[in-house]
Amino acid sequence: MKIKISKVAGVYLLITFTGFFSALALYQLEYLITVLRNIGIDISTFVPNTQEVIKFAPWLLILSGILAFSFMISYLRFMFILRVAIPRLDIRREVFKDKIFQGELTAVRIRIINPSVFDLDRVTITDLVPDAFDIVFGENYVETNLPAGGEIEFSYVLRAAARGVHMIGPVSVTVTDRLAFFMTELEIPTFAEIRVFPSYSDVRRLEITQKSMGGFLPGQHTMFKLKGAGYDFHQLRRYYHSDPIKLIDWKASARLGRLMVREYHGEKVLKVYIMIDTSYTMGFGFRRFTKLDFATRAGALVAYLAQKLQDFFGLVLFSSTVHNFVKAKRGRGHFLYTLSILAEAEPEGVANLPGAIRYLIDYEPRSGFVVLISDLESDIHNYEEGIKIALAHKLKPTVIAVMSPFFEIPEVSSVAKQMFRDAVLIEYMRRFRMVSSRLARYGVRVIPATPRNIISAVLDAYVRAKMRMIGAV
Amino acid sequence: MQDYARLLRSRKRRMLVKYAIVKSFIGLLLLLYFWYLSSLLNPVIWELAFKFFLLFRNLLIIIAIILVYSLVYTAVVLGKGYYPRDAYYISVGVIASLVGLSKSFVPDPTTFFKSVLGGLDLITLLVSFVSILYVVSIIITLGFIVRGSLSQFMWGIAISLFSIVSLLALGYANLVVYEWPPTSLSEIVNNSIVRIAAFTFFIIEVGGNLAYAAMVMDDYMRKIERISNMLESMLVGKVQSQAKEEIEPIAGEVLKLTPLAQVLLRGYTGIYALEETSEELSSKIMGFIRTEIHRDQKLVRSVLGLGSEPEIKTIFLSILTGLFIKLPLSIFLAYVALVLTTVLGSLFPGVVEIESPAFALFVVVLMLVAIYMLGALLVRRRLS
Repeated sequence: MKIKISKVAGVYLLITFTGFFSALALYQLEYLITVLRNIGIDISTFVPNTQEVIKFAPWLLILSGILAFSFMISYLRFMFILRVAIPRLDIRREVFKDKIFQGELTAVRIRIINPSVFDLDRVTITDLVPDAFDIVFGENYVETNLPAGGEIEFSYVLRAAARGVHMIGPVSVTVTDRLAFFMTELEIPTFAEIRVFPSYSDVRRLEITQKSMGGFLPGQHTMFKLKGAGYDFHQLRRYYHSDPIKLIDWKASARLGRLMVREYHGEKVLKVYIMIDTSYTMGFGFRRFTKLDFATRAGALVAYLAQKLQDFFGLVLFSSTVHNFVKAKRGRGHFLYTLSILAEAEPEGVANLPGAIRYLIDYEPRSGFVVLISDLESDIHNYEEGIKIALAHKLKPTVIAVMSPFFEIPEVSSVAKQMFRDAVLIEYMRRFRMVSSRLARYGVRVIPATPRNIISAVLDAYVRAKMRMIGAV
Repeated sequence: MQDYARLLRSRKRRMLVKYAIVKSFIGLLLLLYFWYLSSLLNPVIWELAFKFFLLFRNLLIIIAIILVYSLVYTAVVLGKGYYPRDAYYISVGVIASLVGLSKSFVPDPTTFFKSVLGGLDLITLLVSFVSILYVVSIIITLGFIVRGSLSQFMWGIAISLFSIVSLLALGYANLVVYEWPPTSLSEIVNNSIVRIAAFTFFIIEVGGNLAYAAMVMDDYMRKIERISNMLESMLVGKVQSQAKEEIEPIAGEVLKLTPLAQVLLRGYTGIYALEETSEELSSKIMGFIRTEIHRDQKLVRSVLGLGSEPEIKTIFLSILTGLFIKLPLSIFLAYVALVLTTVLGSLFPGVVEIESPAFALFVVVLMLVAIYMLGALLVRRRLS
């Protein structure tokens, strides 16, 4: 911790040393007057009160000395505050909710206690908040004084604007003495982690439609039923010679006069893996809504839907290695755990799909349905090889291709920028067509996704798989 | 929440009253200070300062006349039929009509330039300049009342002391200064420079502390103002959300949805997860605070900044500490430096370096270094 001397102190010292040197100058003037008088020049005709001014000299010396000692005493006092009081400052941070969804609110409270015997004359305390949060109420800093043994407290309300694991802190403290001569700044490394999950607003909207309509797809109540297997009664029908004898309902047969069998149905249960490419290119996009954020939102929604429809769902976050792997399970607890993992997704590395697929196969040798969300900006051979390995091991992938220009270049009104955007788009579309045609050779669907339809595209892929029993258990 | 808005307003009013009292006190101190300094000066300096101001004005007029004269001379005299004197009269006439001077102002060029100088000789000119400096120092120091910046005050004091000493040398100040060393206490007490110094130290300590208190109160009032505005805007639903963009909802572009589902999922495929209107965000914040208040009553007070109000009472204690401990200690140390210089001078007679006045400065610097090292040692001892 260093003590910085301010401009005010500079002016004070200037006056002090000007006093010293003026006094010395006056002594020199006295000597000069004596010399001039000896050679016959009397300057008192021009400046009559020279002798009066020369009398100032010793007094000026004393006064400058008093100023200098006073400055040194102030400096020592501040040094004591710096070395003794400031290290003993007790700063406590309390975060009301450290796990929230994107868009939700939380509050942070900071308490500062000064247990020492020194007053902190003017202290500015700032709690550093990352860009992923908006301060919607209150302020994250305070400028006040902190008397000896005193305590101050301030709070602020944050809104989580970006998904991820974020750290609040450190706390920056600036102390100034009351005459504004000295200042010191230090950072106290106290941090608090806040985990922000992907937005729940999509899930909430889905919940509303499900509650009001019993589903959001027409015929959902019958769409996913598999006749024959299962334990739920479906209907009575006439007996055919291939039907098992045990299914004959004798009471109904006696009532109707012909042989009738009980038909059951079961749910089509899928095993779906959401594979999200977390390479560095997925980190581009709008400031708080990168391609990866959209991908995680889509992944969260698929996980929610799968949980509601009793399917098994898992998650793979990969780039050059597999960063997170969640084995397919079902249930609400598993859904919340998946959300927590999605919050941790960070863009880094280069996409290595073959490695990720092999990893998945090692842990999940049985067949399943894979939704791959990627911007396909890595080497095309990489993706081809990954797809081939997946297909060879009975994994049925559907690729959701995040169309980068739509995510990275905003719509602009300027003609020149619009032309640039269109040129980039044309080049991108050319590559996209090449990639999708190569993957289509293996029977893999590549669905283009923009910010407007990525959610529905992912849901659509899942619903199609559910209807066709792709990846059924 | 309305109660909290009222509480903030009352807190601000209370702080404003204290602030006004402190500023008034600072103003009164400075008024007394400059009244005392001005009492040491010859009253004629105000007239001389005004004359210097007029001289400055006249110099500006001359510059304007010269500019116009050069243009008129080119146009009129070179066009033949006119003399340079005519160009001069035209230029002066133009400027006189612009600044509203009467036509009788237009004199002969020689007389004109003499009258512009206001009959000031070189020494009087110097005195008027120093007088203006004194006036400027008053204006600079008055800025201290408004802004509370101690550096402004220091500059003002430095310029005023310089101008007083210069006026004394030129014979326009009445300072009582006794020879060194003083032979009695009255020679110290009645010494004008001692009185000026004492008054200056008093202003620095008291005024500086009060300015600091005013600054702290001002910071707090501004914080209350900001938070109050935030609260008012929240109460009327005007808190702005960031990253809001209007888009056309095209739910069900890929999925086939029932019409009701399309209605319910409007905005479902929205770009931003934070698509909220300002009213929605405001009500969200209000709801959050109401929920959290049940758990923690102090939250709202803390968010509104009511938990960080500055403590002003300790300031008066520090003023007394400064006047009765720091200042006497500084005087004592200066006295010790003086005694040390005298003693060393008597121990080494005939040594020019020790007999020179600069040796006193050397002794002061040595003492400052010794005090600093002592202080550092005490700090280390305390830490260990």
